[in-house]
Amino acid sequence: MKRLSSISFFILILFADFGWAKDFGISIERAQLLRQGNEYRLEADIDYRFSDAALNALDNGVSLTLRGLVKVKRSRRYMWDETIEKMELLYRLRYRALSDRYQIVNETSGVRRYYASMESAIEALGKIRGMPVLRVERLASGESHYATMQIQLDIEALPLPLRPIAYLSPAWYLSSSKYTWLLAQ
Amino acid sequence: MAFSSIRPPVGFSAFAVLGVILVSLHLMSSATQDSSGLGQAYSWLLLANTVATVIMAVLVGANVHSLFRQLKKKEAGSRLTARMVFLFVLLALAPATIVFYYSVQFLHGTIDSWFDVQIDQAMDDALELSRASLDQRMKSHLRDTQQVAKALANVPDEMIAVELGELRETLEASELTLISTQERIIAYSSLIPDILIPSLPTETVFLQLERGEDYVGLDPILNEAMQVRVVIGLALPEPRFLQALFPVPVRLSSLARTVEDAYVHYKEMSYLRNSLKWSFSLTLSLVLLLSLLAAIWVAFVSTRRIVAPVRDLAQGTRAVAEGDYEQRLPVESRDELGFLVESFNDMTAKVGVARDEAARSQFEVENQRAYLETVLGNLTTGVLSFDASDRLRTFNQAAGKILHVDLQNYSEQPLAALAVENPNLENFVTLLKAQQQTAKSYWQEEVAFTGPDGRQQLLCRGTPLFNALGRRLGTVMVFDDMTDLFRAQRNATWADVAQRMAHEIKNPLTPIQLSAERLQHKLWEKLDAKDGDVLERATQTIIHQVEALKTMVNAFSEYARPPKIQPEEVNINSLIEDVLMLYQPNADISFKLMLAPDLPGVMVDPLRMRQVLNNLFKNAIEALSETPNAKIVIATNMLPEEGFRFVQIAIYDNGPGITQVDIEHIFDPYVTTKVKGTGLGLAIVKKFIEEHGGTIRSENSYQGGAGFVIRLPGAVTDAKVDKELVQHQ
Repeated sequence: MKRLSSISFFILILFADFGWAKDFGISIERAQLLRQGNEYRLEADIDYRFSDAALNALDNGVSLTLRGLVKVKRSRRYMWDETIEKMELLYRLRYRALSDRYQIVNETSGVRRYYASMESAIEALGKIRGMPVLRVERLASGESHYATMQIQLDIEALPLPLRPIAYLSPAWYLSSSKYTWLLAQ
Repeated sequence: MAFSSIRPPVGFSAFAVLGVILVSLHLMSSATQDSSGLGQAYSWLLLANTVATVIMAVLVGANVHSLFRQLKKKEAGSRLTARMVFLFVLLALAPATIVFYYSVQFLHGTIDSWFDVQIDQAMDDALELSRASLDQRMKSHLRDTQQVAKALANVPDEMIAVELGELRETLEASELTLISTQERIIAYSSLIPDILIPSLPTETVFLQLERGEDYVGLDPILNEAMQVRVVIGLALPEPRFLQALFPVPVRLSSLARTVEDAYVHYKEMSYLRNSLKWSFSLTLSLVLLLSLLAAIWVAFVSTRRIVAPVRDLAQGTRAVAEGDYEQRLPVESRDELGFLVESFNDMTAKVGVARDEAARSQFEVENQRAYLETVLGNLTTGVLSFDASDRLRTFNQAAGKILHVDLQNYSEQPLAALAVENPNLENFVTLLKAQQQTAKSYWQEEVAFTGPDGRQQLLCRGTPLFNALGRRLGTVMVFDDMTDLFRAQRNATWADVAQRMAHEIKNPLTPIQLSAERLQHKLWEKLDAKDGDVLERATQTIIHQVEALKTMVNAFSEYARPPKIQPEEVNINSLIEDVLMLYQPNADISFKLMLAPDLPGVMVDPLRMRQVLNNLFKNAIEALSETPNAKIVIATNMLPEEGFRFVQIAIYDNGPGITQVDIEHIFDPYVTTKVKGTGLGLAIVKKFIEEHGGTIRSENSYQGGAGFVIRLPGAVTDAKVDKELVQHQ
């Protein structure tokens, strides 16, 4: 029993270390699907806290790719929940040396935006507004629906030499926990 | 030879695994090159190869563990396997390590050589040059815009749109927009009339403008082209912002973009220098490690296959050493080892056949030996053999019986031991020793010794044994107990002599007697009284002596008479008591009877047995004539011996006894220690006893007197008696 307690304590300390000690990570502070006309649009506030390694790489010309996934699901009592809609978010953050600006490219829509500072670029990256996700008629009336969202740094999009290190270093494991919310019809 | 089961030296599975590993390694190696298009699969390939490495490591570890266990158990072939695997590993490891070391060095050196301070500087300068060129253009556009903006100061709002168009043409701008502080478009002029909505500045720009700072910046636009965005604040009757967009020439834009891309790429590479080294080293290490592990595994597999015949041979040899000649090893190759295994199989087969033949021969020898032992055991002739050291090697049952010695106790013992423990056999042993040392060929000797039944005479015949080189190996000797034969011969001789003497002596006796009686009858009347007396005494003496002679001759004749016995079952105890009745009145001698109550009957002629007892009692009484407190002890008992029953009668007195010299000849005719007597009493006794199949021997009693011991065979046994015999034994 004493041995089990010791192991539990060790695991607790280990997780506590990951949870408290690291000052980097991605957290979804708010996300919701707002109905605008015949469609639901995503509005989300995401707090990106990149690690020094990631920021350093960004300053040195390495593009950081953020991959998110939004799912809308219908709750079912006796079966697993049905995924009604699945949308991938793909953003690329890079530094443009010539103009000394930070560029955010929405790889899904192809829209590019430039920011004079890294902070403003990261802040802009964290604000998703009015992104259409699904049409209203996809939701069955009288049913319970919910949505999930998760976003993470795509290590596979990093330059090849950086990938093994990124897989082995916690500083490159940037992923939000799954954010879930009920969908109000 | 089972060539049908021949397999390739290394299994196809090993080749297949190696092939997969090689392909995987090649793909991973290719993925490190951007041009390969495998970059996306790099991580998976890395993972796959890492897993393969771990599997290989586990395989190799399991093989090493197995090998250690085999070494610990000292299994056949394990040491050879270990040695070969070690050699293989050494051969693979040494060059691979050297190549790896220099490859890593070369790799790091090459990567480092890509980056140079001058190139760094050149890249920075190129970017700076591009920036300076664009800055100059941007400053020029800002200055021009600021100059032109003054013209808008006194223009009413309804004319601003027209004025903006003119100003745009003056400035050679692509777009000119007047924006309110609320970020609303007041007026707008574009080179391309299709554009209905102008490109507005970002919030950051507005914030800068609100701080009273004009903005000029470079914006990338579609198709990697660029434009200069200038936004300035206007102090009109109400504050407003004027935005002018100037296209950067395509050539300049393209050059600037190329410089930027090169700079970014170089900077990225410079940043990734260590990662690149690490990544390449990791790939190389993984390739080396996986190759080495695969090589070691293949070394284990191939070594095991190579050593398998050797191991089989070792196990087979061990089995042969333990006597198993049925071992047949599988022939799995056509090479020299296969030939060796085949030869081993042939050899074990031949050895097996030879062993079987040897066993058969040994069995036959054993049979012969057993047969010989049976023959020897059933011989009535004693057989002894000795080695060159006088040690007893072979003997049969008859030898022990004749010598009255358990020869088993003297097996492998020197001859001297026999004489030490059996002093009566000293003559026998002395003869043997002498012949053992001196005899060069067949010899024959007679030797006598005193056995439990008296004197025994042996006829010994022997021959020395020599090997092929003439070296003496020992002696083999056969001997027979000739006592009975000699006795019979002597008895026959005596009988013949007695018959002749009786005949020759008795014939003249009657004429002598008749002549003497006639002399007396004729001359007695003619002679005077004195002479007549002389004549009468003389003739009487002659007549008496002739009578005496007749008696003696009759006795002698009786002794020589052929046996005519009429045996019947007689109770010896009763017979002894009957005979003794005649002597009981003798007051000078006391008789002590110790008669066994359950004595079996004996088959004897009662008259002769009575005579035997009479002779012996008379003999004893005469011997005790001058002995005070004379005593005669008569004892009977039963002696079970070798499945037969003997009745023993012992008669002892406490008289003067018999000298040792006399003991040996006391039963011979005309041997007597008495003044009177014919000298035939004991000879007749002995003759009668022997006629009944018994024995008699004389000895001195413990009281100093003489003793005679008669042994007679008991009557035919029945079941009851057999049981008694068993109990006795």
